[in-house]
Amino acid sequence: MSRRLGLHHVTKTYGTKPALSGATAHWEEGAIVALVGANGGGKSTLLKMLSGVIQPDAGSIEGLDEFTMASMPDRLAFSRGWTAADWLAMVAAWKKAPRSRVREVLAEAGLDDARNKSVAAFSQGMVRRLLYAQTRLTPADLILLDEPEGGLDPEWTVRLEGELDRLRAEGKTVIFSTHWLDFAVEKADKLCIFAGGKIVAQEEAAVWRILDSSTRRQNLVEWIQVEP
Amino acid sequence: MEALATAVARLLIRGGWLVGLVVLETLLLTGFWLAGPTPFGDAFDRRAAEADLLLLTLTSLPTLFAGALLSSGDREDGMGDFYRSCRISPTTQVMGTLIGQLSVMGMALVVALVFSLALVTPSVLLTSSFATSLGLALLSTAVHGAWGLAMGSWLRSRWSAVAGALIFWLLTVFALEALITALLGVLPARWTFPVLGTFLVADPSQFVRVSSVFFRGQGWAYGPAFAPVREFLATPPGWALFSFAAAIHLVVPTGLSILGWKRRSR
Repeated sequence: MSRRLGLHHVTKTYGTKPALSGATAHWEEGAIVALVGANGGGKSTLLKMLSGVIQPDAGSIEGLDEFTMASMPDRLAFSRGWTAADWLAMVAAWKKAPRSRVREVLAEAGLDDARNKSVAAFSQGMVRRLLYAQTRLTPADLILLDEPEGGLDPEWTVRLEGELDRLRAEGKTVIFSTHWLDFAVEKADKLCIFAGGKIVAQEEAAVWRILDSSTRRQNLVEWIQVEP
Repeated sequence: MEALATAVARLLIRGGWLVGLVVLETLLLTGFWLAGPTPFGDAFDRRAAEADLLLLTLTSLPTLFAGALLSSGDREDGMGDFYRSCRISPTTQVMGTLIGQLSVMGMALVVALVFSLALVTPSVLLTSSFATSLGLALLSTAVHGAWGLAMGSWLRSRWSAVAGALIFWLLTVFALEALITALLGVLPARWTFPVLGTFLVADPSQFVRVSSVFFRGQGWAYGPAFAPVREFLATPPGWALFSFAAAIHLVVPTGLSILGWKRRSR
């Protein structure tokens, strides 16, 4: 039987400010879901909840335990002492991944030559590739990516698109947030539109594919502006 | 936990903490030994008391700072959130960080102490007095490191964590002592033992310092009321009680750190 990930009225409040309220959605195993919308709309909050960083104040997330999860955060600053190889070796130890995987994922991310350099000196794109590389240390069937395209150059952007195709072919469930609407429309099955801490619309990405880029953006802005 | 402790130790070494502390502590201690007649003789004298004070002052401030910076850095950099996403619990995170920090700070202390004494009077390295001072200096490192982590896990930024560590240090090493001394001058004599006793046990800096005095069979300055305490500490139950109190001084700040990180995950 196919697994399912369900959000039931999931709510999270920081102080008095609601970061996410009443989020409800269901995604089948193997779905590629793009979270799009306004800044502060609740996308990262939802990804943090799915990855276990924070807990909902109300509501529930169903089916999460049935998946093995790998998560790429949107932001991680590295102290001066971290090298890419050391940091991945530490994460590999936590995830019980064989040490040989560290070199393999570094090579996949194009960071093999930089493995012993300080991550603090990496470009934003290199850090994104390193953060993605750690999701590849062990097999996972639920992949959470928070703005994976941020800071990537054109070559690695194309590679990221290829990665999503590969994950789809392998039947992985992928939930990613992005501000790059065309990327979301082209690569996802479902679009989940966030505004003001709420899911304001859930759409089939295929429907948006027939629209040109400009119309897609206009539609998204309209959805964000009708925030309830 | 082991991977995290190793990583923290490596970060501190690469960040220059180990070399910096070894140089600083070796210079200060060597200067201190050269200025005095017989450091760490078997008899406890004024110089040995000053050496203890110097050691505890030396160990407490850098470890408070290191703990506060490590913990608040994890918070500001997003590393704490990343630990949670890798299913690393707050307990594992705090314990791993503490062990990594202590291994580097302890190593710096041992190297500086042994090296400085070996330069000046190598024979004292074999005395029990030296062993007592080293053991308690390591305890001080552990206790203050744990308090540093606790502050870093609750305060908002690196700056506020460092400020908190400095205030904690001034309070526990200097200000509380001055306050209690002033208080004892105006309190009735029968209050001396409970007030001074509570202060000496509850203040982590004073607890380590005074234990060092009592373990050497000294401490007459605290008055006759403390004579039974001194004698009791020399017995096995006294050792057990001391170990228990030392454990409390480690468990309370470690627990506060874990609570701080758990609160963030809610």
